[in-house]
Amino acid sequence: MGSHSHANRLDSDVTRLRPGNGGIGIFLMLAGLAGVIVAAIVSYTGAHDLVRFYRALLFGVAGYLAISCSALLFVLINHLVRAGWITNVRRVLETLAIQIPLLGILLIPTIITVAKQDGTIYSWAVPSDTPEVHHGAGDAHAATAGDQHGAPAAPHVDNHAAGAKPVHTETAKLQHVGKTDNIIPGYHAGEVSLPYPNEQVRPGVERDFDRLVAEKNHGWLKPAFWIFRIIAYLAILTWVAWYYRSRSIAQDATGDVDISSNLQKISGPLLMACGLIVTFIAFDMFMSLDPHWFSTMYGVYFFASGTQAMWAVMCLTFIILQSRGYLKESIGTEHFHDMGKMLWAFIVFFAYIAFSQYMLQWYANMPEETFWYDKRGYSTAHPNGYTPFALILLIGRFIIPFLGLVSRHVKRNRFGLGFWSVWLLACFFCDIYLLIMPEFHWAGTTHELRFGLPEFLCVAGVGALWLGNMIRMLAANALRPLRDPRVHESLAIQNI
Amino acid sequence: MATIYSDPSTTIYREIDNAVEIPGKRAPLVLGGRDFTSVTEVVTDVNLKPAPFGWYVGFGVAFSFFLLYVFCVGMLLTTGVGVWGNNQPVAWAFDIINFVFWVGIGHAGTLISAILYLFRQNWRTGINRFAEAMTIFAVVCAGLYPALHVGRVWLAYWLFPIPNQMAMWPQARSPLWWDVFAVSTYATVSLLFWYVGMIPDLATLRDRSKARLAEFIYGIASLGWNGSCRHWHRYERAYLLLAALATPLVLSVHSVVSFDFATSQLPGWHTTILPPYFVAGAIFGGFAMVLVLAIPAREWFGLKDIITMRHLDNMAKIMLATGMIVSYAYCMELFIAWYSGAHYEQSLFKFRALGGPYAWSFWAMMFCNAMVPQVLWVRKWRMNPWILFLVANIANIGMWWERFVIIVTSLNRDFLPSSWGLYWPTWIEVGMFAGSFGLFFTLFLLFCRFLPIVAMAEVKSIMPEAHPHHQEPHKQTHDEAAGDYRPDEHHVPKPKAH
Repeated sequence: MGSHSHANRLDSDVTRLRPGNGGIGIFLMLAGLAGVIVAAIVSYTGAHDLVRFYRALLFGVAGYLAISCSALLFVLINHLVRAGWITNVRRVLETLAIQIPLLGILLIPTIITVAKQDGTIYSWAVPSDTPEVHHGAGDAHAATAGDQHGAPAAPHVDNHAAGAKPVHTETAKLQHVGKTDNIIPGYHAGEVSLPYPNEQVRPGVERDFDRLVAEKNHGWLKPAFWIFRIIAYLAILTWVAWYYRSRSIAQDATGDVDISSNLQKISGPLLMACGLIVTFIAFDMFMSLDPHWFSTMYGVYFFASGTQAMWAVMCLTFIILQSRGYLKESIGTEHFHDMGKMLWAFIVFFAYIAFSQYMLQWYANMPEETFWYDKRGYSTAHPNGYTPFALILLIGRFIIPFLGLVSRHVKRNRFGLGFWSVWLLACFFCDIYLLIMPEFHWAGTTHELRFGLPEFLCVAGVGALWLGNMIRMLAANALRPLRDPRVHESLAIQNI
Repeated sequence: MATIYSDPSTTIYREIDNAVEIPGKRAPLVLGGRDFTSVTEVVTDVNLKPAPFGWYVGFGVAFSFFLLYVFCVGMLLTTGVGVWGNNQPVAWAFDIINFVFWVGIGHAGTLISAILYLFRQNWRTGINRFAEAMTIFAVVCAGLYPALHVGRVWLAYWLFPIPNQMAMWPQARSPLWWDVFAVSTYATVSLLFWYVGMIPDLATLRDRSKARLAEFIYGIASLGWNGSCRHWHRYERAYLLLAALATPLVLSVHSVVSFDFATSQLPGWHTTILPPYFVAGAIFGGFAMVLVLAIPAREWFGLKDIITMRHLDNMAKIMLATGMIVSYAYCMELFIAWYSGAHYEQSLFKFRALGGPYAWSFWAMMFCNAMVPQVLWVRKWRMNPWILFLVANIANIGMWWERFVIIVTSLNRDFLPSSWGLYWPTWIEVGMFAGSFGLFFTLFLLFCRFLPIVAMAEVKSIMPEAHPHHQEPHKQTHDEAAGDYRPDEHHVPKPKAH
């Protein structure tokens, strides 16, 4: 590329959305809001009351939250490492990040379920009384009390297929602690400790006391503390996203180099803080859906998964923008190649993280961990409705796109890159579905795949709100940093 | 400050603080007003001029320790693994600690040459050669440990799936066996990468050496390199391919090493974050070792214009970042142990950090890896090579303690209190560990003497003279909107000498 012609090229670069495109954003937002409301109505009139809507909404928000969190982390990383190439695509990254407050608003129903302490979404939010209080609550305990010192999982054998039942090592320990405790192995906790109205509770397991969950209910997962944390997390992330975006926009007007220096200066500590916050969002909002399960990798998993999707969104955004005539001079094939490389890198990184987490728990085969994967159909011994999703993660999210996107020719081809971005986004939502939905149990069924109108409307509706707000915010400012000192470096990049 | 290296009248760069970078401009990476010729000279002088007295002293010390290593290994082979102190319940001890320690050190080289190459980090050129050499020597030190640990060393070839009449095959389900392949693949690719990258520089040494024997050996090693465009083209293709192949290996080796622990059911070993945690720790330790070697080397071999403060600054920042990732992993382990409510996890971490006989080692690790690197936040301290050297050494020590903590504290408290036991190394184990440093430094000093310690060809590629428009008059501009980005615009075209 002729380096001397940059200045002229940039003069003809279309950096503002045409008037009226902001209106598209508002229209999308209204449509999204309507979708979410319809989801609530469909759910309310269906068999599950609003419960299904609450759960579907969390699923709907989760994916976009992961993407926006990753975008924020990458804005910070970009400043921290003084990246050059990314400058011309950074505004979209900043706009993705600033969607966090919108997603926070959409999380209010989730927070309400925790405040109501009814266990609609989180089983740990139900107030847990002491075991003594519960002992007299159901006559079922009398029948099981005799089994307390027998085989650890004996009280539940009659309710489930005995052969498939993992033995929770906690059980043996806790039975010595409280003689009247009826400890529920993690595998079944979700089914039995959710006293929501339509749940058909099986005789004999009603309101069993779960010491593990009870301890968490008074500790880390105390509802008030949880709500405080979630609000604090979202508030801090919002502030950081807002600050970085607003400074970047301010630089469009002034071209002040010090803005870049200052943003770089604070990016290190902020990256640490935001990295921890994203980890704890993953722990508190998603890992705690099953309070029995734990994995030190979970935060990294959430980040890796979201980042992969985030780069897919970035690729698609610029393909669409360029097809409409925007940024044709400032974004070139080299940028698509670089974004494609990031996407491919995160195909591999996500596979690495997902494989490591799965393989280590599979290999060690400890029941306090494996039940989580078992529930998600990862087991060849007890495949269930989620098994195809697990296979999609392996084949659709790693093997096929790994081969499909490995070539530089595909990354440099708009159609090729766009195709794989759409493919990977679809797989990403399968992953989010698999992370969240198997935790919810429905009357009379276990581990049944559930994807209907409310779920679809929530994902699509939140997506439309998220996208619409993004378009609206993109329309308000330039589509790329106009006077960032590294604009020209970004323009000059070349992949060998 | 802001205009130091964009001022056309500045011709002497030695005074420049190139660790400062003004957004939009990239700091020069070679200082001292050096051109291609003087870069070649300063690097080849290390090999072609007589070795300084200090080299002989250093080599003598290193070689003495190497002899100690040979002696201890001799004791081990003639007597048996019983000369080591590991026994139930601490069945893995110094052998595996030191194996993991050395493998970890061996990560920085390939990270610098492969991953930083893919990330277009030009500063890597100043340090990649000796970092790669360090990698290979560290892998040599590492590989010897498990090979010696098998007991009957003469049967170590059984690790490979060689058909035999007893129909005995290695246990493919064992992560230890995966290690054989992970480490040997890594060693092979690292060696190839190192060698391929060295070919143009070996040809330079061939052309400049006066001694017949040296000329002959460098001539063979440089594979008939004559610097033609075709050679360069193939060289760069091969380099890029090797970089792409080596990148996943940087992640895989230490991940597989972590599987040795994490696939078990042992609290303290079995945790899902272990693979990336080990990789980050390895990079942390590896960069610490690169700093430990680079700081004296740039001083003694007169390489301060090529390994500048900017290089040290960047390495310090990578150490800080990876040190924070490692600290993140420590925190996740502690948090999840508490959060999980899992009795055994909680007990283990209580023993490890609070009440156990090795709690001091846990705090030593925390001090070295999580607390001390915090001084690297302060630019003034990063600019002080003495402080950097100290912090890097502490980080190395801390990474050794980390492996000690992981291995020994997890094993010494068995599930049954009656099986609890302590571990203390024998003098042979300590001797072997000290001796492995002797082996490492012996190899490293030989490398410094006989091979090009800086990738001259690559350093030149990032100098202003390599820019196609380098000789054209260039207008200085500070207005981005009218500007013309040139990656090295801060450089001044040197007056032509020829």
